[in-house]
Formats: sequence, structure tokens, C-alpha cells
Amino acid sequence: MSEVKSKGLSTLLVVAAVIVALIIGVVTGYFVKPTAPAEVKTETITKTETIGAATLTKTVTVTVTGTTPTVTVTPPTKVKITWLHTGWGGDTALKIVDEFMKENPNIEVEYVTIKAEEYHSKLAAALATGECPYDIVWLGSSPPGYLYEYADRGWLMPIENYIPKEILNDLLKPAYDTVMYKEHLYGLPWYFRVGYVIMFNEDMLKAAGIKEPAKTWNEVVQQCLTIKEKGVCDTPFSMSLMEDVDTWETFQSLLVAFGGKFYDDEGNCLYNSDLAVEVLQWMLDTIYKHKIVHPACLELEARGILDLLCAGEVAYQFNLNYYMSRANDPAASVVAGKVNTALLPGREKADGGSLSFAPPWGITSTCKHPEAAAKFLAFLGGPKGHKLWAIEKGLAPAYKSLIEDPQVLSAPAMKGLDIWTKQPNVFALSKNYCGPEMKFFAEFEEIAKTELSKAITGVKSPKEALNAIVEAYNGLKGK
Amino acid sequence: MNKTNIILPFLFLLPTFFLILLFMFYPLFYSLVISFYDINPSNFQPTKFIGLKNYIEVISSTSFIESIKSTFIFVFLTVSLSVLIGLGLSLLLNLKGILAKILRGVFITPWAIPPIVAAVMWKLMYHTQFGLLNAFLNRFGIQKISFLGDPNIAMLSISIADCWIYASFCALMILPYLQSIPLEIEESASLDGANSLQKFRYIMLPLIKPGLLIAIIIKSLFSFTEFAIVYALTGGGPAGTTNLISYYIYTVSFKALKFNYAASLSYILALISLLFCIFYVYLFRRVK
Repeated sequence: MSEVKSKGLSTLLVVAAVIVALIIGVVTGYFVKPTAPAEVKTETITKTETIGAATLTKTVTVTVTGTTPTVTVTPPTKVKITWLHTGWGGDTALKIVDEFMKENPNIEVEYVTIKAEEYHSKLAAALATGECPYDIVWLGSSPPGYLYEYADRGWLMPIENYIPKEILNDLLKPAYDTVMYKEHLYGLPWYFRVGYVIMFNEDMLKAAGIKEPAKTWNEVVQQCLTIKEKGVCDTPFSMSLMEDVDTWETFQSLLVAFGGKFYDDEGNCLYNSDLAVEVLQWMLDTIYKHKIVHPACLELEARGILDLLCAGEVAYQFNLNYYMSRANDPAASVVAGKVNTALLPGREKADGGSLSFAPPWGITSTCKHPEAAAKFLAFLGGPKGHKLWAIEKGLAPAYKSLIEDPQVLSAPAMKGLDIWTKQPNVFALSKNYCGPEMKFFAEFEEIAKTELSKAITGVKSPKEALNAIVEAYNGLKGK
Repeated sequence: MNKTNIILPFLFLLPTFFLILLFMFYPLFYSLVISFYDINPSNFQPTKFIGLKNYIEVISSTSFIESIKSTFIFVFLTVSLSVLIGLGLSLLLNLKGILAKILRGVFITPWAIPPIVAAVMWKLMYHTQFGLLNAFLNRFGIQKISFLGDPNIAMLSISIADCWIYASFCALMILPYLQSIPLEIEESASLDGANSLQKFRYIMLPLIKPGLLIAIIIKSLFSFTEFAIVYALTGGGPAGTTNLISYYIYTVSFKALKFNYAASLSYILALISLLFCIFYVYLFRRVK
């Protein structure tokens, strides 16, 4: 009996010891700060000019033992950098990684993805810890993106000293403007987003007896009414109208296409200008007065309305330029080969300006190998990477040298590029259109899209909704 | 019972208790703390004590008031629909025979599907152009309806989707009470000439009231914190009509990155839910 008792007691003691050890381990692991990593010391040394250029082939480590520091030069080592993306165009992304690693065997690139909807929140959470595991990150595709906000929070590294001048000199002006902030270079563009363009189904226009696409927005309405009258299609026009960022961008793009601006020279918000009200009223008229907008648009974002064009349900679509390639892809579209594009319509004539933007990549401020990361960034966001994205995925390049590159222009995925590059202002838009240093971009966008949706669904008048947007902007700016 | 036998179970519970402390109580406490502070935009650490400023800002915000309004409408619609349909389902499931057994499996399926998957499924069904519902209505000559794009019906649409998921859960809450009604009571009522409706009104309903209340309480809490349906179906739109408080908290914290403000919002939501629970418990006691 006593044996059983002592056995039970010893089991109890073992269990108790394991539990106590576990708790001590967890508590210690959680609260105790790790000792200073070797990389911190390595970084101090690599900042000196003599070693800086050779970092990729040589690593210098300083080891401090007691009071005597010793310096050891080690043979070439391989560094690892992590590239975080949304997974869009994954096959091309992996090809870029492979090509880069072939050229740079000393740098290993790890490709990690977080889907677009959760990207910002997860990345922000990682950056706020001060130990972000990602080196190269995507900074949003809608103007102005997260670059300004992240730079102000101290999450991005200025990289002007790492990127070769010839790459910067080759960048298109709006792309350059996008990645410059407070006189520092914070990234390189992924591609050049011409912005929202007009796309049309050639067969539908022909069937309605329309010889050429509309040059003004009123002409778009007239042609859609003709298409309707001829019985070709009940609701020929489509644009994103859901309460979503895409709808906010649709409105912004239309405002630019009508010749409007978002801010004046003093940085005052112009979203409630007479022209802005006119644009929003035009959107409402297409829905409720002329009834030419497909009803599904009210619940779809840009990618969703593309399906309407691909299914042959609409004749005209105002959507992002890079969707042209999908609309003409036989695997995804029943009207492949029949979808074409034209110069963006304007208010009076075909002089609609584009809301162009260059979605940036940046390097995080916690990056442990900035030179290796910058080298990869120069590949990914440089002419080499841009050419691959253009040919394979239809993303317009942001480099002067590639805009007229015959290989890019003849790529089936780049159909329309020759037309869009002729659009007025396409390469001349200033940073003004992206929002002057709008560090509260994400918060403002949330308010703006809801207010816009209120106007679109008739809950508020256009003027009321736009006034609320300006009020929100001023409120956030004041903070 | 010796000392070992008394201590041992608590020792086994210790790791779990520690994990709960770390992953539940610590975040709860931390979020309460930051709701009274300003936070550093770079690392989200609390910087300056600002008292109730965040709470005052929340209560005076139009977005919060609109969101609370939407949440109450959603709770009312989903709780009443789910409990009513759940009651109907439980009556069906209470039938005897092989059919009832098959139905039990069928009706439980929606609850077994993760809400986000169910929501995506409903999004496809509600699609104005390619959706099943509009295709069906079109057969009767009814024009296309934008179930998720019209601010007048979007709330009803998401409530129906929610009800589809949770009605079977409510049925399961009520069913045990139905099954515990003694057969003799029903038989004697039949002998006294009571029809089915009378039997339901005067016998079943009073006896299943506790089950109904439990279903109402739990479903109310689920509805107050519903997120997946809004996230997948409407994104809070159109015109902010489906911007439920849980989704609003998500946008404030994870899009605008205002974690302190979101924390105060969460505590206000917790308080509202608590008040509801107290009210229901009071009702529950009265019924008992």
C-alpha cells in the first residue's frame, strides 16, 4: 500500500516538475528579451563605405568578448531576404525570383504571400512589433497607397543610396513621384497603372450600328441608349458601384477624366467642387435616369464587373487597364478577341485624363540585409522585372525604355498599351492626384467609400455626400 | 481521499489555466488599458493616458451610431427568424420514424459548414447576373434584384443567410425540451378534444419556453458579434447599411490601425451584450 502511495507521490512530483518547468519556460521565453543578435553588430560595420559595396560577397563580423573586440573576415556567405506579396501573378513572381537567384547566387529570396484583403492589417501588425520578418513589401495598388503612411510611421527604409541612378532616370515621372516622399526614395514601382480605361465589345457596337467608340461621357450615354434601343443589350454600361475602394477609385478616375482635380495648390480638398458634383450626378443618371448600368454593378467591385464584360453581358466597361488581357483571354472570356479599348472619353472631347499610379514596393526598416534587398528590388521593380510582368500579365511598365519596346507592345497581354500611352496627361500627372502626403489614407478611404455609396444608393444627395467626404478629410488632416 | 488525489486534478488544469490567462485574460486586460490611452503609431504601444476620451469620441461618432442601429436591426431580424424557423424545424425533427432521422442530418448541415464558406455560397446565390435566386425569379418574369446592392433589402438578405446557418442551431436548443414532454399529457389533451394548434399553444409552448429562451440568448450573442457574413457578402455596404458593430471594429482596428479606439468600441459592445444577457436572464427566471 505504501509502495503504491510513494509511486503516486513520485508521479505527482514528476508532473508538477514538468508543469513548473513548462510555465517557467513560457514565462521566460515571453518576457526575457533576447540578447543582442550578431546582425546588429554586423550592420554597424557594413555601414562603412569600404565594406558596404562588398557586403554581398564578404561578411565582416565583430565579436565582442569581454573588453577585447575581435574582427574576423569570413568567406562569402549567402543572405536570405523575404518578399511579401498578395500572391497575384504567382507564376511570374516565382519566375522573377528564379531569374534573380540565378544572377545572384549569394542571395536567397523567399516568396511569401498574404491575400490582398488581409495584407495591410497583417503587415502593419508585423511592422509594429519592430521585428517584421518581411524585407520587401507591396504598398497598395490604389493611389496614394500606403507608402506615405508607412514612411511616416517609420516602417520603411529610405533607399536612394542603394538604387542605381540609371534606373531612377529611366522611371516615368508619375511613377517617380509615387515613390518619392519628403525628398527620400522609399521604393520602386511594381508596374505603371494607366488607371481606369474604357473598354468595349466591338461586336455589340457594330450590331447597334455604331462605327466608333464614344469620345465624350455624354456620347457614352447616347451610344448606350442606342444599343438598348436596338435590342442588342438591356444594360450596356458597367462600372464598379459597390461600397468598395474600387468604386471610390472609379469616381476619382471619372473626376480626372472630366478634367477635375482632388486638391488645390494649398492642399485643400476639392471633392465637393461643382465639377465633382457633376461627375457624381453623371454616375447617378446612368443608373437611375438612363438605366444603362447593369444592376449587378451595385454589388460588385472591379474584378466582379469584369465577369459581366467577359460573359458578353455589357457593351461598355469603365475598369482597370490590366483587365484588358483577361477580357481577351479565351480561357476566361466568351468575347475574347472582341474587347477593344479607346482613348478615355472627356467632358467636351476625347481629352479625359487618366488617374495613373505606380503601385510601389518598399523595403522595411527592420530589413537586416538592405543591400541584398535593394538589389532584388532593383530587379523586381526595375526594367527587367517590369518587362516580365508586362509580357506575362499585361501590367504596363513604368520605364521610358519599355513603353515603346517592340517586345512589350507586341505581347498579346499588352493590347491597348499603344492607345493608353496617347491619353492626355497619362505621363504627366503630378503627385497632387495621389493626395498630398495623405498619411491617413486608409482611414479616409473607409469614410469616402461609405459616403459615396450613400450617394449612389440615394441615401444622400451627391452634394451632401461629397461635403461629408471633405469634412472627414479636413477632420483627419486637423488631427 | 488523500492529498495527492485532491491536488493532482488542479495540477493537470494548471497548463490550461496558464494558457487561458496568457491568451484570453491578458489581451482582455491589455485592450482595456489601451482604450484609455493614446497609442504610438509606429508600435501601437500606449503613450499617454487620456481617460475616457476614446469612449466619448466613440459615442459621439455618427459611424458608431449608424453601426449600432444596423446591429440592432440585424439582431432583431436574425434572432426572430432563426428562433421561429428553428422552432418549426424542431417540431419536424420531433416526429417519429426514419424520415425524422434523415431530416436531423440534413438540417444540421448548415450549422456544420463554416460561416465564411456559407457566406460565400450565399454571395454566389445572390449574384444579380449569375445567381441562382435571380435565375429562379426570372422564370416568373420578375426583374433582376440586386439583393446585396440595394440598401433597402441588403440587411434582409444578409439576415436570411445568417438565419440559414443558425436556424438548425436554434432547433437543437429547443428539441430536447420538446422530447421531454411526457406523451401522457398530449394523449390526455387529445382525449379532451384539443386540436393540434391548441396542444401546441397550451401544452408545448409553456414547456419549451426555457429552450426558446436559451436559443434567444445564445443567438443574440452570436448576432451581436457576427462578422463573417458581412465580411464576405457586403463589406458593410451598401451605404453602410450592413456595417455591423463587429465589422466596424474590424475596419477601425485593422484598416485604420486605431487599436485604442477599436478597444473602446469593443468594450461598449461587450457592455451592450451584457445588458442584453441580464435582461434575458431576468426573463428566464420569470419563466421558471
